[in-house]
Formats: sequence, structure tokens, C-alpha cells
Amino acid sequence: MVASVANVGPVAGPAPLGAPAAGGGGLGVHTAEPGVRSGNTGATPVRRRMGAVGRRPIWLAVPAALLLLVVVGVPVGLNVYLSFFNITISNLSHWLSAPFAALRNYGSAITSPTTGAVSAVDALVVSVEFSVVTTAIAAPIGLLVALSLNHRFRGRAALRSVYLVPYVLPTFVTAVVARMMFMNGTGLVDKALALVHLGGPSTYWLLGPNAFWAMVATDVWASWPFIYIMALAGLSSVPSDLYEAAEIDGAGYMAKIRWVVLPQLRNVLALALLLSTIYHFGNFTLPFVMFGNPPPAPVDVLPIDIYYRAFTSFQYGIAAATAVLTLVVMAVPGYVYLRMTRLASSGAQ
Amino acid sequence: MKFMARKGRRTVVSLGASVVLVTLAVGSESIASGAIAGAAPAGKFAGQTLTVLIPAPTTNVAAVNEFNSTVMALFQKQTGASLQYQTYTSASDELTSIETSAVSHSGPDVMNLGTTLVPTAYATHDFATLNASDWAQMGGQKAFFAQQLKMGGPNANSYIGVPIDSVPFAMAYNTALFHKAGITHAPTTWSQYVADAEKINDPKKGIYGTGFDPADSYDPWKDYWTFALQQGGDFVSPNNKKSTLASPAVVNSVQFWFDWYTKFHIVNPQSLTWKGSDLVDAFAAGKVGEIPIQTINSVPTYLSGAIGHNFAFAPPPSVPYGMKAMPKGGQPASTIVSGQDDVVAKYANKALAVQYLKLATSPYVQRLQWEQLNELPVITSAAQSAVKSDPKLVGPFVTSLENADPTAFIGAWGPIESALAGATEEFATKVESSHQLPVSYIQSVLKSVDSQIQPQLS
Repeated sequence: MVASVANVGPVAGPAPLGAPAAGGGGLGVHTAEPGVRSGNTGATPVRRRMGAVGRRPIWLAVPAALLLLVVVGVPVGLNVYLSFFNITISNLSHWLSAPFAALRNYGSAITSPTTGAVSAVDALVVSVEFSVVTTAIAAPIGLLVALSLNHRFRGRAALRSVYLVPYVLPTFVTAVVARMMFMNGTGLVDKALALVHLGGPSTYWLLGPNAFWAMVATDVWASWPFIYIMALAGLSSVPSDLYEAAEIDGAGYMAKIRWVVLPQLRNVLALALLLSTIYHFGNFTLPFVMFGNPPPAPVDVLPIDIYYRAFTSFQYGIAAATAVLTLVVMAVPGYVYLRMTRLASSGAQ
Repeated sequence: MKFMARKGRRTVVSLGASVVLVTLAVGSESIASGAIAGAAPAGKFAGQTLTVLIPAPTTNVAAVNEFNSTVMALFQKQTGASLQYQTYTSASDELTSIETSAVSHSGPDVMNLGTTLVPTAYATHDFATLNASDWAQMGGQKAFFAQQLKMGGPNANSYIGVPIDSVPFAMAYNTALFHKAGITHAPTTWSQYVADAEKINDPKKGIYGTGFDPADSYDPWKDYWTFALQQGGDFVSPNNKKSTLASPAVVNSVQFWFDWYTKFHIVNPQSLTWKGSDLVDAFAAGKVGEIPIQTINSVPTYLSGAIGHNFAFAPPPSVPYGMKAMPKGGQPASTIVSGQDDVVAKYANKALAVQYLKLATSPYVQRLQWEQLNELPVITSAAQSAVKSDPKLVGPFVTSLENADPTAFIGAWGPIESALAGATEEFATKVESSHQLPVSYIQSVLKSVDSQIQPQLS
């Protein structure tokens, strides 16, 4: 009985991006229209609409393109330019005549340490670990909370609002509060862990290897609502007839989650995970405010590294090179993001 | 400062109201009597505007605003030009202003910078050097504390910075805890300092002889620097060409500072993550016997804490630990030359800017600055008035200032501060994990810091 519900999977989710939808019988027929609406499935209708857009006069895009050029293109281009010159505080006022450094800034960015003996490569590793681990923990929390709020009950609207509080709090505030909570000896975290015999009363969380986990825990707290919002939006677009069909087929709650909800949310969740990872990767404020200046090596993320290169060591060229390297690294998830939102394929048309 | 020492919180609360009256009364008197001698003829600069960048006030906001209004009115009266203030909110904001000004050749005409940032401003070559005629208008360099001038430039002929206020450091101690421990006077040697701290130490009651703040971005290097200079060392060579952060004097300094934790056990064992504010709070709570470097600005926090009026200041000890006298080549280094300097951008109207500097450093405005904002004067005549107003409180700071040493005037000083903050983070991590800090480890970390700094000196 459940086997027919399972047909939803190939229709809604795993079809290669840009490829024609794998049409099927049964429930698959019903998902085609909602899929188009949510941008999840069915490449044919999307292509038709894109084609229509493609026939519009290209000059309509000129203002937006110019804006992008000024807001994004010029700063990025300038940064790439700076990365090839030896710019320091002493020649900053005449930076256009700074000596050419070829690729030396890139070499220094990779090999020479900034503060706390952390090189750009070390910082990159910390950033990747931080963003992946944080997303991996925040995602199931956000998804479970979204699922728990997917049916109507008294007080649901209030709960939905309350759950957004961590997300709307300024990162600065979150970091200051987290610093107080994780302070050894006097912080609530130590007291709570000691109360349940899970830790000592004076564990150092803002120093040494524990600092990484303090940062992860804080960022998970602040960011899980993003996954929750995305999942909630995805859930609202799951057509009710899919649930009805699943029920007719005898599916229970868990079966519906497994064979109806998750396949329908697959693309939305993938997008949420990607955006969340990118966001965590670029988080500067949290470690900067929470741990002091400079932060300990286990939380010395790449944005912090760039900041110290530029604004305390005055190695502007190396900072620019580090930023370019970051751009290259971030181009990978960026490309995946473009593929997922089908901008890449639409651009090819 | 006397008003704070005597009346405490109530006076702090009433300060805002009284400031308005005092400012109005004194301000109008000065305008009427032409208190600033030798002012430029009004009208020469009529219609012009001078923009001054200052730190945004975080405390005493009403008093600062009133003081600024008074100076603006005086400036308008004296020059016919308008004065506008812009503010920065943090050290990074302050630095960004220097960088933006250097790149764009525009921005505030005058910048009020912390003394350790003046070398950075100097390194941009974007700020005007003050000549003899400029100084003459400000009463000459002799009118200023000689030590305070030294952070204005590499030598007396190329100063870009004019001292505006002084923030010297002094040692603070809890008089009640000293009395209880039978200590009659502040220590003059670091050995005595440790001995006094050991006498006061009472961990069972949460009281510790002294305190430190390894997570602070600035305090640790200031302590290392003091200890190193007293031993005859420094962070850089005398010609500013070689980084000497891994030299024995600096290594000993770091070791001595962390010995307070690992060897003498005279600091709170939870304090490896403390910042300066945590240390001040602990002292204000009466939990710390003595701390080596404090400024007069901490007094309101003390007065609002459990310590109340049971505190006093003294110049920090000047004899290294384990010695009976300062070794050959050692310097008292009671305090770094700390405070705020004004620098004039090259794109500004220098003549008008000098008129502002003349006003800001006049005995009248300097006295007003002390009376209203508790910022110590940089000219000797006004400082003497401040000492007379409360010798017990102000005296130790002025004595400290007289024994001050300037930090090396190099653009790389900012990177040195930052690198030492990073190194201290490593030391604290090591201490947290192993409860000891081997000399070999200190040497290894400081050698790495040396290698980071050296390329910026050569």
C-alpha cells in the first residue's frame, strides 16, 4: 500500500536540476502543479516561462546590471586588484602606486600566521568545521520544530513568533549574553552542568578547545529558526491531497513524514542547508564579540583572520588575497546554490 | 575629582545638573572676559567650519555634551568659524577613520586619537607636522608635560600630535584589606607587591591579593611592557629596527605575570578569561587587594561598588621581582604615555585647526575639562590646579605621569599590541590546560610573534 506513495519521491525530488520531470502515475501526477508553484519539480513548465522572459528586451536588465556592477563588481574587482600589491599603512594614502607583489600576498596568506599563530589555512579549516557542524546540528532542530507546528492547535501563532526570537536578536546581543553564560565559574552553563553532574563548576568555555563548542552551541541557538522558517514555508506548499492519498494508502504519521513530507521538502531543505552553511561561514560578529580580541585559535574563523590582517597588522594586500581565496572557496557552494535556484540553467538559455 | 571622592554616588547623579550651571557660568565669564589670550581676530575665519572627530562618550554624556557646547561657543567667539564634532565608537572605528582619511584625502579636519594610534596616523604621512610657530600659539612645548608630548611624533621637530588629555596609570589598592593585613604603605618593589598580595590572599572568602585579565586586548601588554622596561628591556630595539619580543626581559615579564596564577596563587583561579572590566568589577566588589595599572576613570565604578571609599592610588612599583633596586638600564616606566592627542589632517585648513588646538590646550579649557569631565590636563599649570583640588587622589597619577615612558613611536605598535594579545591567549590556554607556563613555551610563542612583527620594522 505504501509502495504507491513512495512514487512521490522520484517525481518531487531527485530529478536532475533542469532535466524533464520524471512523470509517473498515481500521486506523481498530483505533484506536478504544486512542484512548479514551489519551484521544485517539472522543468518543462519552468523552461516555458524562462523562454518567455528570454524574449523580453534585454535592455530592461541594464539598470539592474549596472547596479550589480557598482555594488558587487567594482568592490570585488578592486579587492582582486589590491591582492596583487604590497599595500601597508605607510603607502595607504597612495595605494595606486604601491609596489606590485605578484602572487606573494597569496603565498603569505596561506603560510604566514596572523595573531595566535593562525594562518589563513588554519582559519579556513575552523570556518568549514564551524559552518558544517553548526548547520548539521541546527537543521534537525529546525525541521522537527517546523513539523511540530505543522498542524493546527491553540497558541500555534504565538509559538511560531516566539521561536523566531533567537533569529531576530542582533548577533552582538547574542554574543554578549553567550559570553556571560559561558563564563567559567559564574556562568549559567557551568552551574547547570554541575547541577546535573555533567561537568565541573569551573569549566573554561571561552578558552581552549571548549571555545569551539561554546561558539557552535551559541550559533545553533541563534540560527535554527532559519531552518525552521524555510521548512515551515516548504510544508505549507505540500498539497493536502498528497496526505489524503497517503492516508488512503494506509500510511501512518511517520510514513507520511518519510514518504510525503521529506521528499516534498528535499529541495527547500537543501537550499536552507546551503544558505545556512554560507551564513555560518561568514559569521564575524559572534566570535569577535564573544571571545575577546583576538579570539582563541579554535574559534579564529576566516573573517576574523581577514580583519586582523587588514585592521591590526595593516597587511592590506595579504588581507585582500585572503578575501579572494575565501571567494574562491565560497564559489563552490555559491555555484551549487545557483544550480539549485536554476539561475545557472536559466542564464545558459 | 574631589566631588566624587567625598560625595560618591549622589554627586555622580547630580553632576549632570551642576555641570549645566557651572558651564554656563564659567563659559559666559570666559567669553565675556576673553579668557583665551591671543585669539585670532574674529572674522578671519568667518563662515568656515572645522570638523573634529572625538570618541563618543559612554559615561558622563550630559557633561561631555555641555563641555563640547562650551568649546564650540568659545571657538565661534574667538575665530568666527563654526566647530562641528563627529564621533567614533570604538578603537576599530577610530582606526578606520584614519585609514579612510588617508585613502580619500577627506574627512574630519582634526582627529582626537589615543596616543598609541598616533604612530599609525604618522605612518600614513597624511597628517600635518606642527612647526615652531604652531606650538608658539599653543604656549610652546614647555607648557606641556614633557613626557606627554613624546607620543606626538618621532622627535620634537616632527610632532603631529598635540596632547589634549592625559590618562596615566597608577596602582590601585584596597585600603581596608591592606589595613586588615597589617600593610601600612603601597609597595615600591614587585617582590613587596607579591608579598603584600600573599598576605591579603584569602581564597576561602573569595578574596585575592591581586588580579589580572589575560583576555583583555590591551592590559597584558602594558604589564609586560612595564616589567620589561624596569629590567632594561623593551619590545623593540632602541633604533626601532628589530623586534625583541622574545628577549629575556620580555620572557621574564610574561613569566612573572603568569606566576601570579601558577606559582603564587594570588589571583582568582577563574580569571584566565577576564577582561579589564571584569578586573575593575572584582576590585570594586572588594575582592581584590591591589591591581597594578588603573586609571582615574575607574573611580566612579569603585564608588558604586562594595569597596566604597576604601581605595587609594600609588605609582606602581618600579623594582623588578627578586631585585632590591632597578638594574642598570632600567626605567621606572610607571605608565605608558597614555591619553588622547589631536592630529590635523593635511587636507584641513591648518591655520584654523591650530586655533582650535590653541583653545583646547588653553589653561582655561584644560581646567574646565578636568572639572567637568575628570580628564587630567596635559599642560602643567592646569595639572597643578588639579592636584591642589585633591592631592591624595590626583597626586599619584601626576607622579606616574612624570615617570612615564613613551612606547616606541612606530607604525607597527598596533600589530605588536594585537600579536601580544594573541600570544597571551595562547599562554592562558596553556595555563588552563596544564596549570603551568614553561619558559620554553613562552620563548617559542614570542619567537613566533617576533617573526610576525619583524617584517614590519625593517
